[in-house]
Amino acid sequence: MRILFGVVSIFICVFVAYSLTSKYTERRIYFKSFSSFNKIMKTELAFSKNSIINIIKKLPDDIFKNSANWFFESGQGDVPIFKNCTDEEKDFVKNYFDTIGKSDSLTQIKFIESCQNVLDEKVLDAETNEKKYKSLYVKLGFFFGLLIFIIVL
Amino acid sequence: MDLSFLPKKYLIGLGKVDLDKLSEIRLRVGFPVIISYNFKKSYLSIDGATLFGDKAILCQSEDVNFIINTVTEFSLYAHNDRIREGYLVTKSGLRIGLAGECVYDGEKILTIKNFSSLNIRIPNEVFGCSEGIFKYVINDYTVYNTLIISPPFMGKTTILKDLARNIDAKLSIHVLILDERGEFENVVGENIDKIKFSTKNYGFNYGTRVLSPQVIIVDELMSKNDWTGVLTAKNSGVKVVASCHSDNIENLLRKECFIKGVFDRYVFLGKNDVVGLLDCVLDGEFNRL
Repeated sequence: MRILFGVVSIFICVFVAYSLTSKYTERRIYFKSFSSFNKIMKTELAFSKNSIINIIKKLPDDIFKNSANWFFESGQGDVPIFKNCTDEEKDFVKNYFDTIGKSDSLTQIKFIESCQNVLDEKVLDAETNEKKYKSLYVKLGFFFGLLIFIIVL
Repeated sequence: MDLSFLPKKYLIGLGKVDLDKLSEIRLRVGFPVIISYNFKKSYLSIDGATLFGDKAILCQSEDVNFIINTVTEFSLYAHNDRIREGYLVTKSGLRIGLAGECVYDGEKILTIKNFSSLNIRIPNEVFGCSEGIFKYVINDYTVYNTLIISPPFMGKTTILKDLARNIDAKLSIHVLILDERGEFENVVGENIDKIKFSTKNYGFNYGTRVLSPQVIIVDELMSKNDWTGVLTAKNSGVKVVASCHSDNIENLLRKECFIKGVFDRYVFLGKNDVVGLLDCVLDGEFNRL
């Protein structure tokens, strides 16, 4: 019985630790989708010139789409994803959505190109952080569970 | 009529006016909202039309931005060709004239920013309004090359729309509408083709070549290019019914772009400043008919 309880403790601790890393996963998904959106916008600006609302509608349902919808539609409550962002990132995102779509194609393309470098860095940073912390949290969870297991035994 | 692009307070006020009598909404940042109601200047208040400016809704820059963002779906770049020309068109075909700061790149205008005034034109469909002039326009089974002339806001576009419907229904000949500003949205018919948002010159050339129209209908001839386009169409055997801003034949002839001999009928509107009222019709030699 004690062994079973110990094993369950390990699983629970690992699960909790894994769940705690979801913010890093969300952040990675957000910036990756953001980067894709930015690239789509560049193509749209150069060629078909669909409206942003229509472009967002076609995006896959994820945290980025929710966040983009917040800026263009609801504007109520907290911005999705902002709890997982630094102040600098929040300013970047706000500035992006305040500027995107608000001028002619040439100006917009220049703006998008300048943002792409930042977004590439963010994606890389988010991926590195996710890998690093996911592995660390899972290990910590496992060791914490093991500790409980030993104490119980 | 879809006015959902307006801020809520405007819609509340407009909900209390007869939209059939509304022909224009003018917004100037920092000033009361002016409407042209029953062809008279009024103000728009939360309680509808009013003659008192102090009761009117005060236009704020947020209102102008809201309208621009809603109409363009936050995508000014997608509408920049029209913005550069000084207007926007809503999905339902309402034309919004823009005033703001022009941004230039050398000689070329890039865009307009920081919008300060909007002029929303509400086209009123007046079915049958062209009946009075139809007999002057018709020539057996086709039409004369006809120019409809009046100062702005005297019903030229409304008459042109009805003429297009009349020609489609009564003559059953192929009509091509060069709808440069998307104002002929509601004009449809089995003989009607439409080229939207193109320049007139492109429309005349392309339309004449590929759509083989018998009549081309076009609003507001302004430049020498527009008149040359009409001449090209005429020389190709296509009839043209067009409109142009002027108030009398003398001023029309003084226009730099005017080309004599293009039109066979000149229809003047706005007698006694009454919108849409026929003043006189002249033939190609400027003789009164």
